[in-house]
Amino acid sequence: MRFTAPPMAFIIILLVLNRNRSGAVYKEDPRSDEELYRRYAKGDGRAFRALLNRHGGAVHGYLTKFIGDAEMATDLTQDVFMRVISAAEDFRGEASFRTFLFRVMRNVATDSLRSRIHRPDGNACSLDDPGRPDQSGPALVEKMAGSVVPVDHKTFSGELSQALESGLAGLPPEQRETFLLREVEGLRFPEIATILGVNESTVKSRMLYAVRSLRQSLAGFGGLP
Amino acid sequence: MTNQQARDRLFEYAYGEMSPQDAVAFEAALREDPDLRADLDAVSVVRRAAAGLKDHELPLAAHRNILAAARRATRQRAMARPWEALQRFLLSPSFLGATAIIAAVVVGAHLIPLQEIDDPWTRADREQRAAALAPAESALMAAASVEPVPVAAAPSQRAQEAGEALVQDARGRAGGTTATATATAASTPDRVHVESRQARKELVGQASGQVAAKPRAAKGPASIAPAAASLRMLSDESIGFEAAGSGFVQEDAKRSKAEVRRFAAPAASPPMPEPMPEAELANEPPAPPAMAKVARNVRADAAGLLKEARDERAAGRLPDALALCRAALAAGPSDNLLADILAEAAQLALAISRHDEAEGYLTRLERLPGGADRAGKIRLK
Repeated sequence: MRFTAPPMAFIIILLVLNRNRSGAVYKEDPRSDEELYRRYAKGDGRAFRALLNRHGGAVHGYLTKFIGDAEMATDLTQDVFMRVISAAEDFRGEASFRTFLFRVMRNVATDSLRSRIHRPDGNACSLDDPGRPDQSGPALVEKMAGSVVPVDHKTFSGELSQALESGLAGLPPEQRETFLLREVEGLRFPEIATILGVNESTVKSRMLYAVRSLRQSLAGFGGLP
Repeated sequence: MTNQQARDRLFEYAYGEMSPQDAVAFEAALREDPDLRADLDAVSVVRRAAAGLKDHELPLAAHRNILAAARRATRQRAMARPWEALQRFLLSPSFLGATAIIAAVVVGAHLIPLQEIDDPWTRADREQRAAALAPAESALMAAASVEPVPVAAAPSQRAQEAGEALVQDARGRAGGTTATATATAASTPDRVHVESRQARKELVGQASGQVAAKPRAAKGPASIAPAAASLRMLSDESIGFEAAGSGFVQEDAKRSKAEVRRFAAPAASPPMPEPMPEAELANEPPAPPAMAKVARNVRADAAGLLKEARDERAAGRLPDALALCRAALAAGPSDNLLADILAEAAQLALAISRHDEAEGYLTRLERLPGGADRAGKIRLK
């Protein structure tokens, strides 16, 4: 008893300290994304938890709005973070972690959209004009604005939300992603330009086109001018 | 600001990222350009409608899956570089904190028993007793070095007187030692101390009586031998008492024992002294039977004492059994026999709630090869 007590006490104290550390401490971790990601690359699992707490919701929200399917967005969010996990040791910090994350996210989303458009059932859609079906299948905009649109967006409900979602689904992907990155994720135009790999003027131009289109989608709402 | 410049900076104005001076210029351009006003109006309308898009939570299941994948990857990386993982773990605040807490507890737990064990027989007390015993030993040594004088030769009155004086001196000093031991025993409410005192008195009386009587008849070292042997018994008994009291004094006891034996070595050839006559025993205060047995058998075989101790335990006389174990320990057993005696003594001491004494035996037992398991089992009991 005398000789088993110290190791047992040691283990209990260790577990308690670890449990306390794994709680909400990292939610408000003052360290930068880049530092946390480097820490994770060196084996600190809690640093990754902090990153996930910080950006998980944003990635999932973006993908939900971009793809228009909450379930698929959840799968894609996991794909995004799997790629982030596997790339941890290769991160050099040349761009910010957020830029890196959204670039990965954008690639995953684009790949997913491309695979949906070129489905083996032949109901492919045009990436340039998703509102117009190439063949006999329904338009992507119809799929996204119809039954495929997630029903769990409690804060974005009603006719206005339907109209905005329809408008978003009708946008070309590059305009949609630009709009979402700027308006929903809060990225600035230079950052968006880096993520998308285009110049800033192009980003602003895409944003303007997206806004004009969405304004037309919302034209019939009395509460809005 | 031209219309084209204003159009390029539309979003800066809409998102409030334009400086106040530029904003004034932009608003001037805005008043002159209805298309620009329409675009600005569209931006504000769409932004208001899109405000509800921002609330999103990652589903819990996905959150857990991602974290599990992250942990898997971390483990794989750690397996690829084990030393880095170990170093990180050893330097982690959790490990360091837990280590500090446990170290403090363990050190504290070990300091308290040390104080408890040292209390009855402090080091200073042991040194005092050793100092008191040393002159008696010296006196006996001096007595033993007196030249043997043939009976038929010149009268040995002077040698006899010298021997007697030395023996008296030894008696006095040995009596002082006994008094010290008695005082120590009186300060400790311990039956073993009292028993030891009585046995010690008996042995000292025996030694001094023999020393006082023999020089008249035999003279020289041979006459001192029984007294030296008795003193050696006294020393052994005292050592046994010390060893029983604490595992920490064992080393000192062994050292003292070696010194006394060295002193008594010239007297090794004569036989052991005769047991005290019954008449003399009657004058002495009655000693407990177990301690009398200890006194008689202190030089006997440790194995035999252990057997007797077990018999006493079987008969339900636990204190007597414990006293026999102490005597067995004083006989200087080694290896397996020592471990058996220590285990027996520890169990007996625990049975009569002498926890400190038991702890001393168990500590000694742990130091022996294979003794840790045995001590652990006894503790668990």
